[in-house]
Amino acid sequence: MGIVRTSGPLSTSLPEKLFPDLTPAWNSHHLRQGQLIDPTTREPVDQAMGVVMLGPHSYTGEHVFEIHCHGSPLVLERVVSICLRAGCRAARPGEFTLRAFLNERLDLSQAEAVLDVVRARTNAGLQLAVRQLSGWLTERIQPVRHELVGTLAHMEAMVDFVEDDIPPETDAHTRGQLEAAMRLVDLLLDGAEQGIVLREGATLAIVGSPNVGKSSIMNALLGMERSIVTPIAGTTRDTIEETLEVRGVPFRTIDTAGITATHDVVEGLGVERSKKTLDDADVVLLVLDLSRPLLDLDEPAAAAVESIRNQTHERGRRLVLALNKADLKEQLDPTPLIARLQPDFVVRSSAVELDGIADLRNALGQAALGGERHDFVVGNVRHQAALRRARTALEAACAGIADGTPLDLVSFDVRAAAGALGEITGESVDDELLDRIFRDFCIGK
Amino acid sequence: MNDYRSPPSPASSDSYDVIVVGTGHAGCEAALAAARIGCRTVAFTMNLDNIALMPCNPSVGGPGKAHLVREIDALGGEMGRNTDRTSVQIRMLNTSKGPAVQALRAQSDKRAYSQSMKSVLEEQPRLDVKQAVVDDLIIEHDQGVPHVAGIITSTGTRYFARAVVLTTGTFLKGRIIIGEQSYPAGRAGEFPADSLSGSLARCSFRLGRLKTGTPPRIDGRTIDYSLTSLQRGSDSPLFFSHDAREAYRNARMSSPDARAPIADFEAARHGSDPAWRSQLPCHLVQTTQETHDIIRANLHLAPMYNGGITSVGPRYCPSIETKIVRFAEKQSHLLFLEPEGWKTREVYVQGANTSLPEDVQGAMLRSIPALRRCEVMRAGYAIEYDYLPGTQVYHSLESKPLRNLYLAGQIIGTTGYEEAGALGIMAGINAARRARSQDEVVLRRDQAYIGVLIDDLVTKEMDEPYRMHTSQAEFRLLLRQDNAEERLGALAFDLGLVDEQRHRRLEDRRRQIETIVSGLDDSWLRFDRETTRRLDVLGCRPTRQNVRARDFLCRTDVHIGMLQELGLVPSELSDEVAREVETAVKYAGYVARQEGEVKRLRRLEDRVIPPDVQYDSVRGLRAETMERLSRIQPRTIGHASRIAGVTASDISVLLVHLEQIRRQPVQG
Repeated sequence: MGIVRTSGPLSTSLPEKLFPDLTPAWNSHHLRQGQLIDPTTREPVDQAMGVVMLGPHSYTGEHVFEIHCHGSPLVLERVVSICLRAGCRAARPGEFTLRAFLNERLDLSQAEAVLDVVRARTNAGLQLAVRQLSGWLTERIQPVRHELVGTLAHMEAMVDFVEDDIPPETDAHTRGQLEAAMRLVDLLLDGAEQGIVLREGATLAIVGSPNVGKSSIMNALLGMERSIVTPIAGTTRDTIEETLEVRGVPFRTIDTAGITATHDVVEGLGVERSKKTLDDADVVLLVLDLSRPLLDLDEPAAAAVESIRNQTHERGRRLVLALNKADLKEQLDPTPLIARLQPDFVVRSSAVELDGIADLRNALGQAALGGERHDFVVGNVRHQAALRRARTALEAACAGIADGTPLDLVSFDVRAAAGALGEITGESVDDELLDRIFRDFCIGK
Repeated sequence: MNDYRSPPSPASSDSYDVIVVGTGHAGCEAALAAARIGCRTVAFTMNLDNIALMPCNPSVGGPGKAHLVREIDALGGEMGRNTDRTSVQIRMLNTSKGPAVQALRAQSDKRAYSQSMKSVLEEQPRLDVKQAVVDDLIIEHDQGVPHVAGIITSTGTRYFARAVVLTTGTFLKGRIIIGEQSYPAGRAGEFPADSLSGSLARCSFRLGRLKTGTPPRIDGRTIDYSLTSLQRGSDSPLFFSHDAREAYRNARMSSPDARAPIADFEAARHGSDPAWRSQLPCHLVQTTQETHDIIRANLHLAPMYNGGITSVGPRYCPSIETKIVRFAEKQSHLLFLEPEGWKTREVYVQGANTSLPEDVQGAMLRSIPALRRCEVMRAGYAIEYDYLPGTQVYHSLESKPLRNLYLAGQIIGTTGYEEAGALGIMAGINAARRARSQDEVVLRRDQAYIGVLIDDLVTKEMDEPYRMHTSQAEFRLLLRQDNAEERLGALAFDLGLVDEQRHRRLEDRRRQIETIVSGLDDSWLRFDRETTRRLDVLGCRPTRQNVRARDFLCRTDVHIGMLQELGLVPSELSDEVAREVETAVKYAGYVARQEGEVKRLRRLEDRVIPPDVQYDSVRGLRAETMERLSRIQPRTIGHASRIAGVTASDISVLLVHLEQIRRQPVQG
């Protein structure tokens, strides 16, 4: 089933136009069933349901009309285009939530969390968004920020109370304090990268010659974890991507059938075309059959993988080598290939042995996340941006101390760092700084 | 409060454009600014012999404060000039901590400062100075809105004006406390102003009570200077004011060996620069364990600790007894012995603020080796006074309850001569502009320390006297004492506070700096043997290739003097221009970041809150926020966001409310 929603004053006149068979008495919050027709052609489109929700008692706080119809992309696309012709315009991403915020239906933090929940594609992403609301990030940042404001208070006391006998701090000590803050920020930023992967997913290319067991591995992975098949908003509605959830990471699989097609091998086109396909992948899973020696057939796949190994990739593409059919007698020495491709993970797998599949799942998860999954992950984009600003400022402050930059510039960076962390915890440096100076130092000559 | 009806009282009356009540540091600047703008102005003082008195430390400047003085000077004010005329010592502080926090600090000759300022007032055209006690305000109503129309003196004389500036300092219901004694006083030896306080309360002003204090003065002949450490003034010429800098430059040009024609008060000692005036040194001593023991043994006599004083004092000026209680682990505290002038033996004991009884003050000081034989000439004391919390004025310094009434200085909760002077000049400017029916002048936080000072006062509800620090200026990299004229010069010229000649000089200087800075992009430091040799002579790391002069100057081990040596920058620049060029280049990246931030915040400042917003009707605001916002009546979203206790989510609720108002169809 799919839902098309409109918000705004037109929402009260649309129902009569789209459901002309029903009486025009649309009570608020009553779901009605009827024939949905295209008002321009008078053609029936779908047997559907409609509901009017009058503002302010709706999600956006405005008059809202929702059409619950069949979920086929074709039907949805048609219903949307009918609405557009009837005077609606397409909602911008997150616009319903924005309107809800402007109409006081949600406060800012709720609105942000809602957007994250909406955008979350997996349970892990969802948990992340929910945890955001419970303040766990603030708890982690607060002590570090507190130290940082202490460092800043000292610098400011040195500047503002020149003759007050403030004991000077060694550069090494100050740098130590800044570096401690940087370590936490780095840890959180690592987590932020993972947050993006957990929420937005990673692209997986499974490569291997025919009959090495790609399908059985795929099935084993699907069988062990919940497989989700969703139409993804914002993409063309007539394609459905297959999504595979491994260790909380939503993977989109790329069709790599072409890579090993025999006629391509014959025509020598295979490598070039496969390179293009593999280019989009965040994680490449190369499957080999341990139970038979390396064949010519394996070469196109290996060559394609090798060709993309040295290319740069924004998140750092990882290679997982699965040595499949490990339950059978080994006929293949993978050492030369491992030396050649330098895979990030090598896993002996067997579609019938659960252990191997569990190892493979770990390897894929780590490959996508760039390491072990953190206990804490910063999912919110605003928070990530603040962390990155804190990181830059701390780096500048440390560099400044190292090359003898005057204190007023160093303190500017420290203040910027404390300010950025304060954006996450909701604390302002200005309110706190003087209190800290007077508490920590004997001022007043 | 007398509503003025008519006819005039039997006593004589007179009419002015602007009346200034008080001639302390705020009052003097206010009166001079109003008169210089062209208003007929009168300033009232309770005692003509105490104009611009420095009842506490005769010191001007320091971080934040020096910035204010430079800004006052850029606006054509008198404090910088008067300090340059009368200082006994001047130094540059924070020289190694970066140009944004470098600050001048001077010790003035207390008597000379007062006399010199009195002469300036007396010579000022359009300004009358009168000795009188102001008891009451004349209030009139215009369509139900009350405004002040003049003042009434204690003899019943009425003076009318279009605008009135109140600068009452510590005089409103002032009370001095020393040990277990207390008596009404405006300052030591002066009467308080008791009636005016009541008049203001009747005009629905909220009154608060603040406390400040001052240390004892001792007889310089009884100090053993051999047991102190010395702190000298600057060997090279330093000035607060534009005029003194120019005078010095002209004197040097006409006769390179001439001594500066600046002070009449100095002794005939010479510094390293024969044209530079001699300096009186300060001296440092340290408290001892015995000092601390004496204070602790007598804490029950200290009004701060026995309940004699309940009002709040400034944290940055704690009494010596407070320091010893709060920082008990500190073995010793620094005290500065500062001369009060060329022609007096009185020495100010900076750091020894106290309201302990007189005999304890003496005993405490005599526990310090250099002061074993010292005699106290004036005892330190604490003083309590009424003030009107600053949230009762607008950014123009006009009061909210009474139109045409402007407040400046300690009356709205500041402390310090520089803060008073800064508020005074702005109150004088805005009172004059009101008198001439012109728009108000408000300085922004990214434009001047004065802007920060006023915005803080009208926004933050402080419970201690406000003192300016550089850490309060979030844009301090933009607000250097060196570029005060660049920031405010054009405005001062438009206001009629500086003459065309000075303005033109400023424009020339600005152009000169721009030319030199942009020239640095086109000139290169060649990479050759000769350059490497010269760099070595200058004590500077060699380069490895040709380097653009601008990039070379950005290096932390390079200063502008080296570029002059290397012929990349003209060598005959004035120190200020050279310093400005260096700062412009070295700070460029940081300044750009701050300017970006200014632009971002300006958007919040541009979102004006309509004055008729009913905060109690805003759904979702917390009760305390509603109450704060109603009291302070912020003008913009940016202003509201700076109010203490107002959170980001309060602001989003407020934004939502304003958006709703905006979306409502216009009625009728």
